[in-house]
Amino acid sequence: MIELLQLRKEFPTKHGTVTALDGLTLEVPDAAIHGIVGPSGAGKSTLIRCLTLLERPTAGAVRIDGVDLTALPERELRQQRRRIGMVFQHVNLFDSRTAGANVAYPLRVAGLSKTKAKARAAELLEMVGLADRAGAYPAQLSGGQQQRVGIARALASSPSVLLCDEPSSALDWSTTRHLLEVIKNVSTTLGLTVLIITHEMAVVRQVCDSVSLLAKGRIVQSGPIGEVVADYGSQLSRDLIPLAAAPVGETRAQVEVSFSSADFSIQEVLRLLADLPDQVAIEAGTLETLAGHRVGRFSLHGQPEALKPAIARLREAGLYVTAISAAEKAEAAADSAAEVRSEAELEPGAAAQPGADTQLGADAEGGAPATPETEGEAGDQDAERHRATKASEEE
Amino acid sequence: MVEAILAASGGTYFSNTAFTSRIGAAILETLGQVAVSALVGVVVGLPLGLAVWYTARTGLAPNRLVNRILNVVVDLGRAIPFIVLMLLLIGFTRWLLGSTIGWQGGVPALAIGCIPFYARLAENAVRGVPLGKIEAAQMAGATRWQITWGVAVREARPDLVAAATVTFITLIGYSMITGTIGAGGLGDLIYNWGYTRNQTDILVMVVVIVLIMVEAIQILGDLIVRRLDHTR
Repeated sequence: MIELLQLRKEFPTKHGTVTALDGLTLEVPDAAIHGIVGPSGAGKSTLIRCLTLLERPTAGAVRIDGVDLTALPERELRQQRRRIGMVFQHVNLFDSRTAGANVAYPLRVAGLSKTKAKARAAELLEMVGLADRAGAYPAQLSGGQQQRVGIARALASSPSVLLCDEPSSALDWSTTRHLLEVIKNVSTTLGLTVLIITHEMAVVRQVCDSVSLLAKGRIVQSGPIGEVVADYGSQLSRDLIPLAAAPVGETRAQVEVSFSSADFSIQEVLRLLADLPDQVAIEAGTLETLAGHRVGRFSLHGQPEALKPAIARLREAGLYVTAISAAEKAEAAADSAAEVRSEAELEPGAAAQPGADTQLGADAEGGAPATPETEGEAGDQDAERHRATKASEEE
Repeated sequence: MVEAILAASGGTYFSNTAFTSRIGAAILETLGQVAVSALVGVVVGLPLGLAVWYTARTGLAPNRLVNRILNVVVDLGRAIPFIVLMLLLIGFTRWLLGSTIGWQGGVPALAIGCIPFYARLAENAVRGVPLGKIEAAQMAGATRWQITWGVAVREARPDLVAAATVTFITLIGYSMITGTIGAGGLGDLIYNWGYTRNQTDILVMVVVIVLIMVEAIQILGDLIVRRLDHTR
């Protein structure tokens, strides 16, 4: 079990204090795989460095299985660190040692005899599928193999917690998938609590039971995958179920409808979508099973006047509908004069539909439309992933 | 070519008995002098360099004051011109060895001059080990001592050997100067036979021999580096 309590980290700089972690609290229960995502600069790296006490937090507590690491003197901290396995972004294998010796290193420094450490290292290498490469030096291994050796080394001292800091950032997607498979397997067989820091939503989708979104040193959203996904308008939900961006014409509008089998019958939703008039185009969509729930998101395009009644119908059925552009933003603009940007974007749609919002105004609470940038980003990521899958021949 | 030189010179170059009778011993003396000095330089210089790395801001035990002092020691040590160091150490050498005559007479000055030189090179080499590897060792539960020798020094081994090669070759150059205080070897041949007795042929031949020695040591050093370096 990992507990972070009011964790705070400040860096003094010439231009004043920079707060990297701003009173962060997080609990990862035993044997869970938890993902932490967030844009660069959100504090992900600082979080993991503070968690391992490689960087001393300014305030707050780090508890691993109930032991507060921040309170320990050097010697005991060293002991406790053996209960934390760490997988690094840059792997950080020792180039001067073979794969086997790298895995044996934590055991050797703990005083285990060479033969015993070697035997245990062989077991661990077998667990990550590299039994035959014990004698190879890191430079003779591929990136994916190196990271698997890294995992084996992290597991050498039988830790109860495995921390992974962007473990797949240097790997292509098929290698990443394989690596995540390995992490998932060892976590299940050894009952490990795993914390994965990543910027790839695909990593979260594949292995995580729960996820937290980090921004500006705080956790802004957190929960089991099923829950965060069902919070349709939330950042994590949108990032976890990305839709390819489809081009929208000047006069057309775009909305997204999101749903989960936790709340709806999928068949019913699909029937509802099928019954929409022909003027409403279903341009993009996804339906998949995530964390035991079928979750879906569809992108509808059309002239604002055709879209409006469709939106009303879907909302009547209780579905979550959010505006991406044009017509629906006209509504948002009418409701909140503060949204200067959407107002500017919306001129044509708004002009075409004066007063049309009365019909839909009741549901203004559905607000928080995602910005166009995040949409584009999600699309890019997706495209990149597909490219990676195609390009990879390794393993 | 050798025959041509012999024919043309008669009593010079390879038929110069002042040279032929001394050269074998001189080579051995110089090698002995440099080897002992380099050994002392590395054995003392490495820990000194490590101490600089260890106490640096990103080191295992940052200590600004100690780091500053060590840096000053290393830099001052390298700033003193060798000839000044050698002359200053004549008294110390006499006290230690009873005389400055013989190849041993050059050792104290060469060794002491070598220590800060190698210390700085060693510090650079160890600093080149990525911080991530040090952190990986910390996470493995290694002590600072284990990290220093088992990770930092071990990972830097190719660079440390390359630095030792540079040091050794630099010492060969400096050891020629010790010939002026009677400390034997090739330096003695250059100064007392080539320069003082005005035999240019001896100077030329010693230079050629030194060139061969330097090349041989460089090749040997590169060979060891290749053996230790598993990154390519």
